[in-house]
Amino acid sequence: MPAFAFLLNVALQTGVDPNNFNNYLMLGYFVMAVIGLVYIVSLALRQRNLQQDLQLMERLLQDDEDNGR
Amino acid sequence: MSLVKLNRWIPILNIIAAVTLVISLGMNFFYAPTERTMGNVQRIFYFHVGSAWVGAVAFFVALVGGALYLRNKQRIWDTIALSSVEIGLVFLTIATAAGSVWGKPAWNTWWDWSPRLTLITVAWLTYAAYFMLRGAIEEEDKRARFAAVYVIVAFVTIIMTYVSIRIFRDIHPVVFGGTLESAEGASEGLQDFAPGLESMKMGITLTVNTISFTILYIAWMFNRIRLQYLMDSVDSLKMRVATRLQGGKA
Repeated sequence: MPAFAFLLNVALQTGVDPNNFNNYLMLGYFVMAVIGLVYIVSLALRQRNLQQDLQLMERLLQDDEDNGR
Repeated sequence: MSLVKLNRWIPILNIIAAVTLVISLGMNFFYAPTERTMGNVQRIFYFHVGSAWVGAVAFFVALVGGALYLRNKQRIWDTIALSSVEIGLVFLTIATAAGSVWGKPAWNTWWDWSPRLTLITVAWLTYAAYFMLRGAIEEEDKRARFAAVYVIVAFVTIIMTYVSIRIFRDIHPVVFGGTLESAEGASEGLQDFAPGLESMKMGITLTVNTISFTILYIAWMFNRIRLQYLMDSVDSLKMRVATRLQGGKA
């Protein structure tokens, strides 16, 4: 939380002070990391959901086959 | 490429991408020299250019995928185009966000509607609309055909974005190559990697970053293509289940 407050503070600054340039550097890398991580998490979640769907469909087909016998 | 092969390659590619990214990060902070005018904040530049480069490559791959789909009508080319546009859009977002954060200390503004920044917005919106187009068409072949044509035409926005700072006056600096007389303002920010150790170190860092982002792109492409294979498997199984439930034979 303190890190987030710090980054928010940098983002909301109205003036530009050369002494704060390192804060912009950190904010830049933070923003890039967040976008990249969000995409990785979205890939992982989609894959997990699809694998669950796949298992469910296979089970339904198996059950149906067992009931048909 | 089969799902088995993808499953074998993906963990290896993910590890290589992570390692190269860590190396790039280390070089950005500990190897690259501090830029004279901007100081440390210039270190954003290496990821900014790396991601912008990979974004452009991704959209070019999508164009090739679209063209090959129109020629061969093989589903894999549509999958490659779709995956590449999705990943390209992520890299374009990273490049734009990083550029905006760098712009605040450099230009004293987060955003400016200069030709380059306006055209990057147009490119972003154009590629975002690609997914709306796909979502609006039910029939699979028709969707892939329309999407292929769209993705080929959409590449014009990337060319325009690249060329814009070389022909118009713009707040955005030109990193490589010259500019026309009409864009003299932009040439003032020209950063050439001329001979000299400091300059050479910046050039090497940028090259390593570009390579590592390219590897990350390839790793994400493989992950995304596997996801599409899974989606297709689920869709096909859903059809079989639906047929069974209606009393037919799957």
